[in-house]
Amino acid sequence: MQIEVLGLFLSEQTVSHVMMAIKIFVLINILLIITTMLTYAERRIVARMQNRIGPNRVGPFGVLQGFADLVKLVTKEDLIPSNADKIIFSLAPIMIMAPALMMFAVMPFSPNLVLADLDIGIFYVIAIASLGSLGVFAAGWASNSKYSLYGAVRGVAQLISYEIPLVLSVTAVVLLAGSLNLQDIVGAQKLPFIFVQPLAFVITLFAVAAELNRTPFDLNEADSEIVAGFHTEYSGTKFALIYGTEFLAAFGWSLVIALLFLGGWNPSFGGLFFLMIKTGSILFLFFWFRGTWPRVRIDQILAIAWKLMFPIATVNILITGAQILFVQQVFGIFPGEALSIQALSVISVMNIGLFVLLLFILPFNKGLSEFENQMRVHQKGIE
Amino acid sequence: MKDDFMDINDKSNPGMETVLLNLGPQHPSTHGVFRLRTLLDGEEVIDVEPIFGYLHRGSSKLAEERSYTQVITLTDRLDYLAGMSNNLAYINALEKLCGVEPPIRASYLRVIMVELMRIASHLMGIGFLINDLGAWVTPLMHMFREREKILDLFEMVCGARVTFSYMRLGGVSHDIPDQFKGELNTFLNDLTTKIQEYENLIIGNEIIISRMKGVAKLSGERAINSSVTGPNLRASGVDWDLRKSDPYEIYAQLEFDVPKGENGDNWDRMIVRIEEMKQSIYILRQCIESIPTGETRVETDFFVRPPVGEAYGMVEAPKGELGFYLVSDGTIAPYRCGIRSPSFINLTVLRELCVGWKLADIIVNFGTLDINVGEVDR
Repeated sequence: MQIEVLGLFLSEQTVSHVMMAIKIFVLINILLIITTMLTYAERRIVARMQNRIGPNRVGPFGVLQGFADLVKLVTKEDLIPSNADKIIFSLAPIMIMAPALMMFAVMPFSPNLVLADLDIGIFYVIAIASLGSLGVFAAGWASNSKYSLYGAVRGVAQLISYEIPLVLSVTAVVLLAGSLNLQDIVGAQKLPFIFVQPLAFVITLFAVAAELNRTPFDLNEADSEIVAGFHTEYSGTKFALIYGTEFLAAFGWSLVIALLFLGGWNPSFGGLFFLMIKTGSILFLFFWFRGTWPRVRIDQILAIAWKLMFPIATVNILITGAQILFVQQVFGIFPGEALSIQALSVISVMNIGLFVLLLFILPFNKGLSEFENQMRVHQKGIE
Repeated sequence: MKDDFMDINDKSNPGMETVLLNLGPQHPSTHGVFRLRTLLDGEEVIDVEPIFGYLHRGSSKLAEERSYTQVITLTDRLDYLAGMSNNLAYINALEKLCGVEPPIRASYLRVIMVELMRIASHLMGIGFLINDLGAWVTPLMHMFREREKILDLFEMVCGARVTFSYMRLGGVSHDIPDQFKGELNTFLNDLTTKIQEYENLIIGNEIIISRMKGVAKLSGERAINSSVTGPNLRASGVDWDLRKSDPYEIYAQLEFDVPKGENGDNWDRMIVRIEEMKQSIYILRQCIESIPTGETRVETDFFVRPPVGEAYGMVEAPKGELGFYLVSDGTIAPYRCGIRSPSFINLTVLRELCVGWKLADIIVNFGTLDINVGEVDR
C-alpha cells in the first residue's frame, strides 16, 4: 500500500530507488545485529573450550554482551596517535568495513530474497572482499607504529597469496554449475558440491580462513608477536568497526561456503532456516580453529599457499574439467546443460576417492615444513 | 659479532633497511615485564638484545637487612611460579652454614613439595609456550586447571598458594594433614591421564611440529659454555641433573630417570619438560609410599646466629640450577646473600638462538627457554 501511496507523488523509477534504499537499510542493520551477536557467540564458544564460563551477565545468558561492548566502545574518546596520518587513519576502518557489507549485495538467502541477482555473483564477491586488504594496509601504514606496519605487510602478503588458491578452487565449482551466478550455483546443486568437490571445499575453507585472518592464519594481528597487528593503535568506534568486520566478513564468507558447497537455500536441503544452520556450522568451525590451533609462521603460510594449495587447486580444475567432459559423453548431456544427479554422483565418487588418496600421499605428521626449516637457516650476524 | 647494537643503518650494505623493534616491556608474550630490543630485516632477525631490570626489587640487598628466617619470604618472590624450590635452595645453603640436619620426614616432605612445584612450573612453561605459538589461551587454561589442583594441595599443607615460606631451618613449617596423601594420590592419577592427553594434542599437531622441530638448535657444547642449566641443558643432550649428580635431601634413595633431548631445538626443550613431569609423578609416588613418620623439624633458635663463614647451596629448580651463596658474620642477618638464578643465566643464549630466524620465532625461542622475570631481575 505504501508503494501505491509513494507512487502518487513520485515516478516509478524513484519509487524503486526508495524501495531499494529501504531494503539496503534493513539488510545492513540485520547484518550489524548479527555481527554483534557473533562476537558474543565466539566468546561463549571459545570460553567453553577453555574451561571458562564466558560472558553471562548482560541479558539472558549474556546475549546482550555484544551490545554493551558496542556502547562502551562508541562512547570512548576517539584517540588518534599524534604522528599518525589522520585522514587515512580515520578512513581505514571504513575501508575495511565497507567491502564486507558490500559482499552481501549478491547473497541469495532464498530464491527471492536477494538484493541484486548479479550474473557474475561469485566473481563480485571475491573481487569486493579482497578490497578489504587495502583498508588493512592503509590502517597499518597510517598508524605510524612498527607493530601496525608489520601487521599490514604480513596481511597484504598473505591476502595476495591466498586469493589465488581460493579463486582456483571456486573455479571448480563454477565449472560444475556452469555459471557465476550464485542463484544458478545453488540451483545446480542437486547433490551438495561438498561431496562432488571435497578437495575444493577444504582448500576454500583454509583460503577463507587466511582471507579472514582467522587462526591458524591470523598473522597480521598475531597477538603474541605483534600485539594486535594492524589495529594496534585503534580504539573506540574505529576499533569497533575493525573488530566487527572480522565477524561480519566471517559471516559473509561462511555464507558463501554454504552457498557454494553445502547446497545453499536449495529446498531439497532445507531452505533459509537450514542455510543459516549451515552458515553457523562453518562459523563454528572457524571459532573452533580459533580456540584450538596455534599459528603458522609467515614463510610457512606462504609455502602452504604456493607449494601446496596452488598446485593442488590447479590440478583439481583439470581433473574436474575432464570429469565433466566424461560424464557429458556417458550420460549424453549437451555442453551448457545442467549436470544431472547421476552425473554428479559419478563425479562425486571419483573425487572422494582422489581426496582420500591425497590424504595418504601428503606428508602429515612429519611436519609439512620440515624441509622449510632446513632451508631457512642462514645465521646472518653471528660469526 | 657487531660491536655496537645501535649501528642500525649499515651504509656498507645499501638497499638493506633494518627495523629496530622493541618487543616489550609492554608486550603480551614477554612473560612479565621484559624487553627485547630486536633488529629486524623484514621478518628476519639480525640482532636481539634482552633488556631487563623492570622487576628489580633488590632481593640480595634486602636479605642483608633481614634475619635468616625472614629471608625465606624473600625467596618466595624470586621465581614466583616455583616458590618451594627457591625456599629449598636457600634453606640448603643455610643448613650448610649452620650445620643443621633436617629430620628424614622433613626431607621427604621437602622433596614432595619441590616435585609438585616442578610439575606446576613446567605446566605453566608449556602452557605459555603454546600460547606464544598462537593457540589463543586454550592450552594455557587447561594447564592452569592442573596447576590449580597443585596449589590446592599446597594450601592444604601450609595455607598459602603462591608465597609459601614452607621450608624452615631444620625442617618444614607444618606437617601434612591426614587427608593429604589421599588427595595427592588422586591428583597424581588424574594428572597421569591429563599429561597423556596433552601429549596427544601437542605431539600430534602438525603446526606445532612445523613451528618447533629443528628451530633454534643449541649444541650441548655451547650450552655448557654458556652455563645453561636445567631442562634447556638436558634438551641439548647433556646428562646433568643436580638431583643425580650432586644429590641433596633424599634424592639419592629415589629412583628416576633424567630425560634428555637430542638436537637441543625448541621441540626437545618442550618434550624434556613433559618427560620431567612424568618423572616427577614417579618420584612423588615413591615418596608417598616410603615416607616415614616422625618429627618434621628440629628445634633451632628463633634468631639464628650461624658461625662466621660462607656456604653455597644449590638445587635443581624447575628452571635450572638455583644457588644461594650466604656469607655470615655471626650476626642474625646474612652479611651477603648472592643468588645464582637459572633464568638469568639461561638468557645468555637467547641472542644466538634467535639470530637468523623469524620474528615469530623470537617469541617461541624465548618461550622454550622458560624464564621467569621475577628471577631474572631478582
